[in-house]
Amino acid sequence: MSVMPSIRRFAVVVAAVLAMVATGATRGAETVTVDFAKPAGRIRAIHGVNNGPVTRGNNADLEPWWKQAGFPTARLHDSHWPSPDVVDVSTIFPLVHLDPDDERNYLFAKTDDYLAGILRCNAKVIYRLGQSIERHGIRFHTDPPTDLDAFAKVCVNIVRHYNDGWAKGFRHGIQYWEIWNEPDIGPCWKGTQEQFFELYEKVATAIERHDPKLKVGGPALTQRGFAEQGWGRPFLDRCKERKLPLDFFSIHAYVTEPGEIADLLRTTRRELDARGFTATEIHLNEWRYAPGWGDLSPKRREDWTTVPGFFKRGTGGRGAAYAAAVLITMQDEPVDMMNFYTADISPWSMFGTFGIRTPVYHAFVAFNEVAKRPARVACTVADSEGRTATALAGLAEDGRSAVVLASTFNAAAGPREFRIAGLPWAAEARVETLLVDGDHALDPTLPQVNPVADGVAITVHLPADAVCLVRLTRN
Amino acid sequence: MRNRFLIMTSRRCRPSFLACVAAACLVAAAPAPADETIAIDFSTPVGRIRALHGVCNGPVSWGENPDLRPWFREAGFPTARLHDCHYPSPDVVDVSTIFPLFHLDPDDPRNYTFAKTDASIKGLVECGTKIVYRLGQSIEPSTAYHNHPPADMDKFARICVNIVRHYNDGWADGFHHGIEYWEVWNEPEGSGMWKGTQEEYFTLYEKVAKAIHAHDPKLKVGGPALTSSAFLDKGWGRPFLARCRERKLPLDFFSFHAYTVDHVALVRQARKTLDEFGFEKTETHLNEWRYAPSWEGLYPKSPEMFETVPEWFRQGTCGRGGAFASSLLMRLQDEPLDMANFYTADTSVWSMFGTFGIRTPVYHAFRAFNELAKRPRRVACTVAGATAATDGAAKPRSAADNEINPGGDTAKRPTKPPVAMAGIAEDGGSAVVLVSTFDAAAGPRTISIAGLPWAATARVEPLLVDDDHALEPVAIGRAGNGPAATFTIDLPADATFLLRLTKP
Repeated sequence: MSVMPSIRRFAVVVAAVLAMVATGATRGAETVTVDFAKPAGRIRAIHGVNNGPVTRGNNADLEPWWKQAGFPTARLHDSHWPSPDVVDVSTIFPLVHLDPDDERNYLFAKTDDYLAGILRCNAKVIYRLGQSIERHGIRFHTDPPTDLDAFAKVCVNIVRHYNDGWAKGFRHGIQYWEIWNEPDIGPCWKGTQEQFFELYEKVATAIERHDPKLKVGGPALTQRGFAEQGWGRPFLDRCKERKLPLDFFSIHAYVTEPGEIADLLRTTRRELDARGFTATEIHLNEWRYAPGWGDLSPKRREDWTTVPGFFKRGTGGRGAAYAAAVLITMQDEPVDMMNFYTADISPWSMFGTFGIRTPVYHAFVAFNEVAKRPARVACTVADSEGRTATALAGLAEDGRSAVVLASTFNAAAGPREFRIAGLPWAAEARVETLLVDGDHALDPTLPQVNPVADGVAITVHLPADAVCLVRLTRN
Repeated sequence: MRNRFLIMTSRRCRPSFLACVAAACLVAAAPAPADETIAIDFSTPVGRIRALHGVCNGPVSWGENPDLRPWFREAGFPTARLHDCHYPSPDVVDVSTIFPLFHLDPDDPRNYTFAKTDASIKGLVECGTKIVYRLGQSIEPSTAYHNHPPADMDKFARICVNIVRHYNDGWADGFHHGIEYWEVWNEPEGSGMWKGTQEEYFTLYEKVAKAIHAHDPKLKVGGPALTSSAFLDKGWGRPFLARCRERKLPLDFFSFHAYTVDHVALVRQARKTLDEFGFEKTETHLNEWRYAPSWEGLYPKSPEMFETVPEWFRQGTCGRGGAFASSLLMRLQDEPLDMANFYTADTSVWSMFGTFGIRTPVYHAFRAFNELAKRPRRVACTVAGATAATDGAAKPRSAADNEINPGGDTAKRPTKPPVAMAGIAEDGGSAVVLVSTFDAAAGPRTISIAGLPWAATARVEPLLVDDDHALEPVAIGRAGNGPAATFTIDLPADATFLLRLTKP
């Protein structure tokens, strides 16, 4: 399946087929109309992830895959979960009774290597200062620190190690520092809301004092914590009242419809703006396709066989189509950064156990093809039958290549006609149509291509819950 | 009731009772010729069955994994050796996880982080599993954070003693667990485990072993958990024993591992070598083993090729892996071995529970063996028949029989007789027969029993472990119902079969 037909050659070879297409094979097809001569803004590289590519044990080195997908950002939380030995404050400064200003009391080596792997892949780091989640009743590090000032000092020294060279450190220029994760749920924070607000104030102000150019934020609320459990608004009120730094506000969404995420983001923007945080960025820094949440925590040990199914649903073909639909849809929503949960070797990862790529990974690679061609152009989907696909199109900065990305998440299977016009070149184009679903790993599929009055029409039969990338390259 | 075929199934089988009856009728009407006859005489004692079904690591898991304690209890694992706990990101047991900052005072309890390891060990104690605590570090295949020789060996030995004190003597808000076995490091001959020289390891062993014995002479200290290749070929085993003899070092147990080699031959070699050096009382611990026909597929050269890795692990824990496990646990009964620990029984990828703690056929094979271990009065059991007359597990098979057969083409595997063993409960109220068809042909087997200590009809439970059965009831033909009876069972290849007989 490595045949990549040029438009003209292909037109000659399959002329008879094209005649059929023109006369009726695409009747009823949904049309994705792309006008490459009509700019529509910029495509934003929001395909960030959680955690890093450095693995151990019997797992593949993920760096080649990271580079291929071009993940722009990596938020560090639950790294090496469920036995975190990097990133968490307790793994770097393990004994709280010791002097936080004595560099001998820090264990940076493993985290140094973890960050180096991310930076080798050119992803920017968002460093969560705090602790990984502790599920199933085991609590070691999720109680409020006994000495908040000392904890804040430790956090600043971690910043100094990675940005200012302290303790044989680095000058990585890590800009984003997030304070804790999901303090609104018990497995992440055993203290009260007030205790968390105090922690946030201590750490945020300490980091800002150390380097005002850094971006400090949090609190990485669950969507329920934000909407229902009364954490989001009180947190923002406290930040406003105490004039606390809040360069970014982070939230999570484990839902099953892109529209739910959009609603959450709009609400978040409104709440921020209403309190004067109009310049505060919004980071959706945990998200994935998550149907059937109950399968994740079976009541009986014998029922634990449902757990692999939960994870497979999240990263299979439908999960991939969801991911692509989200990344496309959020282009027009008020979000500044997004981080899929996760891209490491945890069971939550798009790589699966042993670092094997899943369809979600391939959807991210497909989206990266769009992000690499960020001159967004007009792209509309005309629904003829059933629910519509979601699509996005972009042109490379040098004008030599273009892509259209479509997701059929929750859309019907059937033919899609991509009507391409306004390409900035007149010569032949190389056409590649690539598919991601449960059986295809961004694999080439044979399209039907025919010239139309103002360009070309490319017809592809798409399954439901799939991702299709049409890539056009000037010869 | 004599001369009448009966079907007796466990309660779990009742929904398919009619199907069982139909199958039994077929057996009754036209019994297939049995390949082998397994004959058991419950009135002829032949010693004791030893609970060799220990494992590595423990039931307490974090993350999206279940608490494995119920499975540990069900399988009755007698021992758990702690090494590579929470691999590949160890946060318990390893000395570096308990005493994280080496420059600090080892006698200040505040400098220790015991909490996570306390929780892990508590889980094992609650399951009644005895602990073998490996003092050292987990393997680092591609990194070198903690596998260099300690900068100060006396200090390291002091830290080890304080770990012993914490778990046995209550030091630092500790416990009185009575952990008897303390192993010094693991596989020091491998670069992933030890970046130092052989001489440096010998020095470490001497410091730690002597310090622990000085602290409590009743404790058993040993090591060095050598790989089979290092033990047999690379010259670590004999020099280590020579050093222990020369320096009169404590060596209460000698530990070694077996993966792709002949496990039984290695055990014999260990005993022979220990005796040669005068360590006749030193125990032998095979404390890492599993079914591993080869390493092919486990270490792909490029990330694209990692699709082979899940299959490698699946082979080790599938029905064939289960049959290997049950076969080996029986064959080792007559070998000079004091402890065995399957690698592993936690939630690592190496585990018999697999990712997410889901039970595999190997786990069920261990459950089946536990039924035997719970009935430790071993009785005469012989296997005779078509494939090659043998005395079952009572005597070792040929050297070829002991080899791990490469998987793959089943047609090329040599056909071997099944391995079988039988035991009776201390109170005489129940008895079991365990059969493994590892590398044996599929086909009917006759199980002939005699000498049961009760006269009336027994409750009979025929249970199978293979890729489709998790120690589940299967159909069986039966003739006779008294102290003597004959059963006919059609067994698949590479399966584990348990026949449980209970006094009514």
